[in-house]
Parts: sequence; structure tokens; C-alpha cells
Amino acid sequence: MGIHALRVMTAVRQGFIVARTDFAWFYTWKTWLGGWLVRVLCQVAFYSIIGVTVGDPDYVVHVVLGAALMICVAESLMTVASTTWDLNLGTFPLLAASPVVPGGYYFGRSMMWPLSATATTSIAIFTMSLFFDLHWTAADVPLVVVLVLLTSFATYCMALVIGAVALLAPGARNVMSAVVTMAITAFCGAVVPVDFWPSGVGWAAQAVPVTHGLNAIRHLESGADLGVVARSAGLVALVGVVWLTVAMIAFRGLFNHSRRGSASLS
Amino acid sequence: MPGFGAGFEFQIVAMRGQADTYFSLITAPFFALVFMSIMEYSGRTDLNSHAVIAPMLITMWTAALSFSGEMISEDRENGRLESLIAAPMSFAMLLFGRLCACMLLALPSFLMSYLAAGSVFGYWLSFEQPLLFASALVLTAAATAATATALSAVFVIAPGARSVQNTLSFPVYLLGGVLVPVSQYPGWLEGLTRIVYLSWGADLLRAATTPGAELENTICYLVMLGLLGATAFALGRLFISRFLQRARALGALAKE
Amino acid sequence: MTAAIDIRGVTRSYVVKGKPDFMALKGIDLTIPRGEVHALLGPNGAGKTTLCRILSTVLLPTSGTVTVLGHEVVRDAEKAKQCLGVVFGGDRGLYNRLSARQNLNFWASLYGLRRGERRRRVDELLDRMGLAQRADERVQGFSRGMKQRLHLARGLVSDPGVLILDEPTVGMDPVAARDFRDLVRELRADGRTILMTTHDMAEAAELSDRVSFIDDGNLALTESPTTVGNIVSTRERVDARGVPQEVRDRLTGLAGVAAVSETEAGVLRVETEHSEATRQVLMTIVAAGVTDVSRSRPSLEEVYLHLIGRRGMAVGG
Repeated sequence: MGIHALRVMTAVRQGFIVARTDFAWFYTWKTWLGGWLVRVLCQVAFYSIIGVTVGDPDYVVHVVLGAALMICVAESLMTVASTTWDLNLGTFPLLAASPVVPGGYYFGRSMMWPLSATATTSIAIFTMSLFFDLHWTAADVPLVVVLVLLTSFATYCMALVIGAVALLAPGARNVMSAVVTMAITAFCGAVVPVDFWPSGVGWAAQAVPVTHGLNAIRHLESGADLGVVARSAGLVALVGVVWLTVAMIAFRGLFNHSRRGSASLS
Repeated sequence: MPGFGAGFEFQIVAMRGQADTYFSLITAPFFALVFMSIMEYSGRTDLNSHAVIAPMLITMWTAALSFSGEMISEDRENGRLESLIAAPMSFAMLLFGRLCACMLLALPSFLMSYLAAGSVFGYWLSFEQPLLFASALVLTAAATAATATALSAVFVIAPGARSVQNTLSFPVYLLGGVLVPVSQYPGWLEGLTRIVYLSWGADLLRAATTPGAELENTICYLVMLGLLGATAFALGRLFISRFLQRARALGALAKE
Repeated sequence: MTAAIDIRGVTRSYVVKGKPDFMALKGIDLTIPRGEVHALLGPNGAGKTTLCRILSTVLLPTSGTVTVLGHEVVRDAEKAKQCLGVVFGGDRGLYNRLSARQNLNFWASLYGLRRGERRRRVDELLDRMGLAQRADERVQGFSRGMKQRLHLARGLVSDPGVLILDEPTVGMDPVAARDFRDLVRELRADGRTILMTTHDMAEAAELSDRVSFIDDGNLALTESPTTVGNIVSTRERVDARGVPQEVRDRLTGLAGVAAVSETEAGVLRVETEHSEATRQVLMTIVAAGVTDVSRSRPSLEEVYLHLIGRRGMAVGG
């Protein structure tokens, strides 16, 4: 067991080395700050202004936090695309031929996204709070960051499963992540409460980490008991672990599939 | 304008097999659901027309960004740029024609948005001023294509700009007032948004579909939209001719 | 009547970072009359492609003038483009996701052909290039030879008076290359002026009215291929290893032996003027008990170097 854990850790680390270099290729500090972060702030502002136009101050708070957490969803879902990059590079069959732990490698391979998502989402929440009248105590600040980190990683685990599917249809990777991002924005409580939609939608939304992440952060903002916040945060973690387990199984299956000579994976 | 017609026809054929096509379209019904749900939930059903129009404008801009990003560099990487430049037509018009064809995506996008609002929320957009709607739609599409022509030149002149290509989406939705009219923004911000052609186009399209809504001076809006589009195209032509002139001088039309 | 192509004092330099400017063309003068098939020969990097690019208006000359059917390619580029067809070599440069017909339609409309005319022209070209059967398939699945034929069709779409073919047969298999030669003959019969670059001496000799040798940015020589062809067919060589010194001396004295030299690899190389001399050389070498011996024709580059030597540049012996 100990040895297996060590192998997983090694695989994650190997994946993370790729993640770091990919991220550095994707963004420089300048383009991250001047491009991506500005876009993110505009996205939250876009939704927040809708909130101001149509609703009361409580609704504005609802939308600001909802829109901000959608950033961490959108960014974590970039994993779907980066998971398929190994196919283009031709490294996928080589990975399948190596003794690397598949799920471990892929858990490290796109880790730049949830990390960046944590930063952008936290910055968005605090910046927009200044403009749209949200209030946080000093003690709230680290809690907000921790909740965002947790939600980003739980969403990342879900994105890994979608990424595994995208490995089978790499041409559809951007469409897949766009559809999932939009569906989450519509149905998981970002702009209107989950119970606005028919109950079936609400049940499905429970499987999405950010549904609980949104509850947790809104509880925190409204000054609710920390126990209530912790319960929602626990649900985020639980859902995340379930997705991670599915991801591990999926990647193992894909590697086996590739070793058997699947044409679609070479 | 042989370049325009050739580009327009070509792009229609080319788009069928391109992932960007579907990527630009797919989000439209979801945006309609998101925006409609906001209006319904907050009881502002008077703004429903805004919620149906916005996804179409978003599709236009998404298509402009995703298609313009690689339009020139793809031709260059595949060894086609030299042959294109050797042909007796205006390269800027070719690009403009191609991007105008991309704007046809606004139609299925609008249809999906219209149907999503109608079938899920029972709201069927009414065309109060069909003529105004049609002319605003055509002008907005042309202005978007013109802006995309300028962008395509920027992307090839400054390859670094490609890395911010994806980040140009929401800033433009915000400044273009695709959902909330910019007249409701703070005064200083409204001034800024008025140089974005979308802010005029969006106002016109909403005015044409919202019962009882009248713009003070419709003609002025149409003229402004046309002017901003024409300016963008003029800039695009300038950028492209400068790029080509430089590339012909440096011998950089092939590869890179 | 104006010449089809008139090149006067054309130079072209490229800026290379940290180095002196690279001169790709160092002052080219060449006039090609109408209806001529002209081959431009020379090694890689000689400046052939640079010259083709300048002719086709996509590259500006550093100095000098080029006219195509009387239209100057810099000042009067739009008019020059109208009468030029350009085919850049290789199989790149097509829209792979479109069919052959769609590709040609696109180019035809770029050259301003109207719908009916376009359809006729595209059908005719597909037929002529032997692509009619697969006209509606995606180019993606085409072989290299088919893509090159499609390129040629593309170059012909506007029915140009002057055709520039830059390495049109590079990488073609022998069958495709033969078909291509037939096609060039047909085009010549149409009365078109063709400027083509190639590495293939035999191809040039077979197809062209005149050939030009270009090397290191200079035009070394313009000749009719019969003159060049004689050199190619008469100059032969024999390579051998382990030839004793006295046999070497004897070889040098044989009639028809043009040169005896030793390559860097230690191989004795005997160049002969005609096949009778070759026979004599072989007999002499074999009689001396040498078995490591082979016959070959000089490569294009050697013929080329040789030609320059003959033209009075003192290359010893």
C-alpha cells in the first residue's frame, strides 16, 4: 500500500511538471494578468450588472458570488482540453507503455488550472465585493480562499472524468467543456437558485461540486454558523472524491484500451 | 469585388467541417436559458427580449474571435498565403467575405435562442419592427465581420495577441451592452461603450423586438453602427496591407 | 512584341540577424520570349525560388525590374497577377478539408471567373488533369501526385499566358512525372510561356526550349538544351579503387579522357568525353586486375560546375 501511494505521488509529480511548463507556455505573467484576469473580472461584472438591473441587493450578492464561482468552474474545465493534448503530441501511447499510474499522472497533468482558478476566483470575489457591496470580515478572507480552492479541485476531479471521455473524441473537447460550463451556469445555482428548475435538474445538480461550493460561500457571506458552512464544504469534498475515484478508474481503463492497440488513442 | 464573393462562398463550404462552427453555436441555447431564468426569477419579464437577443450577439462575437484568430496564420502555415497573394484580388476583401459568411451562424443561433425561450419559458419574441430588425441585424453582422477582419490582421502581425484572443469575449459583451443596455451603465462607462459598435447594434435589435420601445433617433443609431463598422474595416485594410507589404519585403509570406 | 518575361538587374537581399545581409539574387538579367518553355536549373538555395516569388508578385526585389507581358510586377502588380499562373512546388497549399472541385472553384472565383465560365473551366481542368473521377472527394485523401496535379490545375484556372512552376515534380513518382511532362508539352502547344525550376536535368532537357543555370544568386548561363544535352549525354565517368600509379598515368594519356582526379574518399575518378573512351578506360582498369570499379553519369551539379569551367573560368587542367 505504501509503495503504491509512493508511485501515485511520483505520477502526480511527473504530471505536474508537464502542467507547469504547459501553463508557462500558455500564459506569461503579463497575459495572465492583463488578459485572462481582466476577462474574468469582466465576466463577473457582466453578470453582476444584470443582477443590479433586475433585482434587489440580496439578489446582486447572489449573482456576484455565483458568477465568481463560475470562473473556477470554467477554468478548471480547461482540463478537458489539456487532457487530450497528449494525443496530439503523440505522448499518449508512450505513457500507456510506461509504468506510470494513469490517474496519478492525469491528476498532476492539468493541475495548473485549479490552482490558477483559485487565484482568479478569489481575486474576482474580493474585487467585485468592493463594487457591489459585499462584506467580509478579516477572518472570512482565508476561509473564502480555502472554499474556492476546495471547489476548484473538486470541479477539477469532475473535469478529469470529462477529459477521459474527451480522449475518445478529442475533436469535441472544446464543445464538451463549453456545454458543461454553460449547463452548470444555468442549473447549479449560479444565477438562480437550484429549486427554480424542475426537481430532476436539482437532483442532478447535487452531483456537481460547485452546487455545494456556492452554498458554502453564500452561507459564509451571510454570516451563517460555521458548522453550516462546513457541512456544505464537506459535501464539496465528498462529491470531489467520488469524481476522482471515477477518474482513476476511467484513466486506468483508457490506458488498458490503448495497450490493446486502440486506434483512436494513438 | 472578386475577393468578397469568393471568400463568402468558400467559407460557407469550409465551415461545415470545422469544429469552430459548432463551438460558436452550441452555447446559444444555454445563454438563452441562463438569461431567461434571471428575468423570470426576478420578475423582470419586460426584459425577456433582451435575454433572447443577447445569445445571438454573443455567437456573432464568439465566431468573430474564433475564426479570425487563425484565418491568416492557417493559410500561411499550410503554404497557401503566397498563392492567395499572387491572385488578382483584395486580400482584405477576401477575409471580410469569409468573415461575413461566418456571421451567418447568427441565424441558427438566434433560432435556438428563440426556441429555447419559447419552449422552456413560453416566451415567444415578437418582431415589433421587422424592417428595423432585419437592417440592424445585417449591419451588426457586417460590423462584426469588419472588426474581425481588423482582428485577424492584428493576430498575424502580433502573434503575442493570440494569447489574449480567448480573453476578448466577456470584456466585449460587457462593453457592447449585449444584455444590459449601456445607457444604464454609469455615465463614464457609457461614454467608453459608445465606441464599441455592438452597443448601437444591441440597442437597435432590442428596440425592434420590445413592445413600446422606441429609440429617440433610430437613423442616428443605424448611421453610428455603419460608421463604426466602416472604420473597423478601414483599419483592417490598413493593417493587412501593411502586413503584406512588410511580408513581401522581408520574404515572410511563407511559413513561420 | 513585348517579351513574356523580362528581368533586368534584379537583386534580392535578406536581412539576417547579426550577420551581413544575405544576397539571394545578385543581379539577374533574363528575357523569355512568348511561347517559350524555360527551365531554371541550379542547386538548392541558388535563388530559383526567390526569382519565382518575385515574378509572381509575392516578394519584392531589392533592386531591378521585372515585367510580365509588359506589366511591371511591383508597380503594376494587379495587372501582372491577371496574366500569371503560379504553382509553388510540393503538395501543401490546398484546402485539405475541401474537395478538388471546391478548391478549384474557390481559386477560379478569386481570379474573377463568373459562375458559368467557372463551372466550365473547372470541369475542363479536372478532366485534363485526370482528376474528374475523384473531383468531389476531400483533398485530404489524395496522393502526393494527385495533389500536385490539382496544384497545376489551380495554376491554370485563370487560363494564364505565363505560367510559373516552382519545382512542380519534386517528390513525384516516375509515372506521375511522365504524365506531368506530357502535360507541359500540351501547355506549350497552347502557346503559353512557361518558366519552371527543377533539379532534374533530364526533365529540363526534354521539355524546355532553353535552360538557365543559376547558382549562388547569379545567372551563370542560358543555353538551348541541345548544347546542355550533349554534355549530359557524352560526359561519363568511371570510379575505381586501388588503381596502381602506372595505370593512372596510362589513363591520363588515353584519347577522349577529359580529366583524372582523386576524390576525397580516395576514389580515382576518370571523366570521359564519349562512350568509346569510357570503354577504353574500363578495359584498362579491369586488365590491371582492379575489380572495385563503377560507371556513372555526372550529377547535375557536376555538369553545372563543369560548364562554368568550360566557359573560360580558369579551373586548372
